[in-house]
Amino acid sequence: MNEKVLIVDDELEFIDALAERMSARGMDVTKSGSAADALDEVKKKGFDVVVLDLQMPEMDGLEALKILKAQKPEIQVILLTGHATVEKGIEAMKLGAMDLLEKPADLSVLTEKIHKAQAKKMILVEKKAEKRIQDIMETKAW
Amino acid sequence: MTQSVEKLIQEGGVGYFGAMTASVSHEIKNCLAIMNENAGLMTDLILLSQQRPPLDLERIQSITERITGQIHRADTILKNLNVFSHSMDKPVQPVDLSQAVQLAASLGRRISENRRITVQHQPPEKPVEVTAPFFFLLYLIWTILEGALDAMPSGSTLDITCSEKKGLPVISLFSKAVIKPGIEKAMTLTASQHLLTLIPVEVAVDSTTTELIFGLPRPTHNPLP
Repeated sequence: MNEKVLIVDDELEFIDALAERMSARGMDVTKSGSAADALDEVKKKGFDVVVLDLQMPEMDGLEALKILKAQKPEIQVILLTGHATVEKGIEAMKLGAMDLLEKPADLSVLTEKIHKAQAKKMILVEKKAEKRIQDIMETKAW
Repeated sequence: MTQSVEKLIQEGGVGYFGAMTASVSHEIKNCLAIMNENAGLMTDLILLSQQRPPLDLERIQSITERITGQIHRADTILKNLNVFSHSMDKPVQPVDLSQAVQLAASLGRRISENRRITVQHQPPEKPVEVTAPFFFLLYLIWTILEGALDAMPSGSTLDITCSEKKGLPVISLFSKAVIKPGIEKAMTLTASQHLLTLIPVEVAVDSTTTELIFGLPRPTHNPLP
């Protein structure tokens, strides 16, 4: 199944090239130039994975991650940053990011992480569905 | 190095140096990331053309133009960083004020962009020269700029110019955006006591144009204590 990926970065030349390369590898890619636009996109469309730049104007990646995870906890987030520090990494993981990659990233590494993220999302969605069925069965006393 | 200068470096100089190099290294990483993706895209297109010829040469040309653009961007950033790193070479030196303003704004570009504020600098018709400790002059200009950024709403534009008024070098700030009242006082207070001893600045507001005016001295002697 094609991964539905949203790439968010204020460097438009970067997301243009990255999106084209990811699309050529069979992914369904949407681009967004700001965190605010990305949050709107997420409301409109179901994504498996969001590849999010850490440092962006107005709303940074960590703030966007917090909102995103509150809205759609099953979406997997991979953060991209110019300089990955241990502190940032820990903070990102605590907020629910799946991984943190340093720019410039190797596309084969990013692609592998996206595959894993999609698989993780599928498991979460399945678990959520199972839980719902279980809840319905319990309330209906079946 | 005198005690006063040492204190000034400890007070904010190191922090300023750190903030600027962090801003610049982030910009360079972004250039490298764009070059990396575009080089990868070119490889993808070449590999695809081996299965499905022909190779789209116009596409390849536009990608190489993008890479060249990023090389120029990174080169400018590194040139600025080099000038910045040599700004402490001499205790005082003659400095083109307009070039110093341009450099201070460029070094902190990532910071102003993160606040979504555009800093525009129009060079003066005649060069305005000051004799100053270059590093601390850059630090002072950034303190002024950052103070203005703090007082401006996101999405606005700040114009910064240099000129000579009544024989004194002057930096003027102007924005159509609403600037918080009392900002000139706040900016003077933000610049540390020691920085202002080294480069005394007179601050005024032109009531007709609402420009913020920073008058710099033109020292004829070494201002370092």
